[in-house]
Amino acid sequence: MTRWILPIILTIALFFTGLWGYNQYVQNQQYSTHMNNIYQKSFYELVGNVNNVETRLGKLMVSGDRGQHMMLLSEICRQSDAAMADLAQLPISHTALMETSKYLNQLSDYSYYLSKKVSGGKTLSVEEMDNLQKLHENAARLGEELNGLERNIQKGGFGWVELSRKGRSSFHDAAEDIVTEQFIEIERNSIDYPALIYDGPFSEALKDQEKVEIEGPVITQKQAEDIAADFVGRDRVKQVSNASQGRGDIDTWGVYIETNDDSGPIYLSVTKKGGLVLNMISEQAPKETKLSLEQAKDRALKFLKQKGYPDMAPTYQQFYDGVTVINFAYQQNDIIIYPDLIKVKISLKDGSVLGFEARNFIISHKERDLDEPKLTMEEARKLVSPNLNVTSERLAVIPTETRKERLCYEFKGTSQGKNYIVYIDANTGEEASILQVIDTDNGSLAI
Amino acid sequence: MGRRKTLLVISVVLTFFICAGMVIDYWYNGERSTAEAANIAWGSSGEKVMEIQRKLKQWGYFEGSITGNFGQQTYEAVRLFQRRNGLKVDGVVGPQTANAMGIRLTGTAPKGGAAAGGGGNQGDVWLLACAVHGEARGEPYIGKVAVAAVVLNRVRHPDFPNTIAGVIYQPLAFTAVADGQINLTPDEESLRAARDAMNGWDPTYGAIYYYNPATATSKWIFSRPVHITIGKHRFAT
Repeated sequence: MTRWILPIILTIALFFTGLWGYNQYVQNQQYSTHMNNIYQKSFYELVGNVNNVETRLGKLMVSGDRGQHMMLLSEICRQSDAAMADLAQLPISHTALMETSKYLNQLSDYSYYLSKKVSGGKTLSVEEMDNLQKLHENAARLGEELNGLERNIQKGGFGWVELSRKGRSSFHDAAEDIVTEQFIEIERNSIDYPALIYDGPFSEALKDQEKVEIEGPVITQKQAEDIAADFVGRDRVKQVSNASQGRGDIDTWGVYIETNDDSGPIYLSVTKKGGLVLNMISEQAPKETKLSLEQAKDRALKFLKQKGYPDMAPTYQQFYDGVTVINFAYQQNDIIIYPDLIKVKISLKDGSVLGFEARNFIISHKERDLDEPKLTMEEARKLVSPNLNVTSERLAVIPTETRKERLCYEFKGTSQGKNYIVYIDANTGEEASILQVIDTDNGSLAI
Repeated sequence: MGRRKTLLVISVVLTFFICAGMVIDYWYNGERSTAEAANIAWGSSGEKVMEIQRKLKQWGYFEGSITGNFGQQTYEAVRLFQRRNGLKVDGVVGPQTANAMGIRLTGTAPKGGAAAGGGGNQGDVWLLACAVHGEARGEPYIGKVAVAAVVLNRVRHPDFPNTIAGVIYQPLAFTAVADGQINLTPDEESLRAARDAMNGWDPTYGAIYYYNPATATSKWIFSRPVHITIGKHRFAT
């Protein structure tokens, strides 16, 4: 009898293994199919959106009506944005999609900019029509290629899931599959349009980081370490060591500082030219609140004065986990200069400075020639919507999306229990921007 | 006889493991489906709905009053939230949407999520912290801030998607997303690093790539100009 036990057990084991394996297989199939469907849907939507964009761009070429222009431009903006979102869902490596992504993003951004322009009462210039013509040609080629790809995919049961498995690691070399190859082909042959320079976040003008000119002598790593130790406060420093250098629009030395209160290392970067502290980050997490926000603000102002930034005015403040982050803007003759921004992070436990960020200030700061604005405060106030209950007003320089500057009247006020800030261009009277101030439990925030 | 006994023991152990495997598999999938069942959608009510409404209201997606009943207005608000954050737009608060909001569908809200205030969208801070935790565990603090900064730099770059969720969940972009480490609960340090990056600290000076030179396989990535090296990662554009 005993000699049967083993085969019986093994048979049962085999049976269950088989059952389990089959179960796994079915489940795997289900998940794969599900994923494949999602990818497929994104792809079909991408094709649809690109074709729509192409038609709209075509219509734009033959339309001479401003209202029609505005409508078509906003549709192009929306559909190319949607196409971008679809594209980003596909399991294709980034290197094969870069140009196409850029094309869709810029097309969306550019048509948004143009629709703003048209709605402001202006008409499209010859140059802009030329750009749109080129963008249209690109859309047509892209659409054609995608339609071809769509037919290929429909023909042979193509699996997106296999594609995503192939490229599990980031930045892998382009896989040898037809889809990725075709996308690389599209990038190479179809996407070709002039550099678009306009007032929008994806404008070509913003892509190239130019070297920032800073005045002052070139310093060594050793000098940078001294500057960093002084910045933190010599009495707190236990040990100074070098960290990695930074290369970019501003070249920096890196410095690590161990403090003697064991609050974790502090990292600072100091500009190689001029020896200015660009930023400082501490790991410390106080988690305790003993100081009031006012006290922390005073502490930050004192710190800024001490470090050679005397004319800074606090603008926004937020707090969490025993720290507060305060934004300071430069003030020139009572005019607030928002582009010259410094952020200071203060511990609410002991008032020590935990973070400092002066990149924006270092890049944009200069004494500005601020001419007398064409509009008076009174004239500008009349342009503000009567729905806003204005509580304070002042002159301010605000940054535009392309890092240019605009002199505006700033009107703070309330409407239906919510706080808003409205900016009126001090020369043209145009409404330059509207921000909503969100007062959370953690401080105020403007968006 | 000795050999027989050994074989017998082996087969019994084998059977045991297989059965255990099936049980675990079942339990695991069972667990999943209960999590799915806990989705919050039209018709739901209770504490969780109130929490969702409060968050949506705070971020300006939801205009109505906090009733704890999931109706038309809440549905619209959830859809808007999903659209803005690159999530699947279905009006259902499932695991991903809940994650993006920084809330948990089962049990109490995570401590970190509740504390993840401090500016910007709380859901974005949480999601960013998840990415940092998955991608840069074991890196120095500054290296974590740098990884978060790269995600934010990508959002602002024309070659990449335009939302934080879009960038993080872009297929093949981050290993931590592909292998599921993104779903680990971020530690307090990752949350702090994410918040520092959201507040404008960028140790990478605008980098949009990072890689570990010891493990990177793409030749292409080595050709990109390096801005800075922090810990194991090189940051480049």
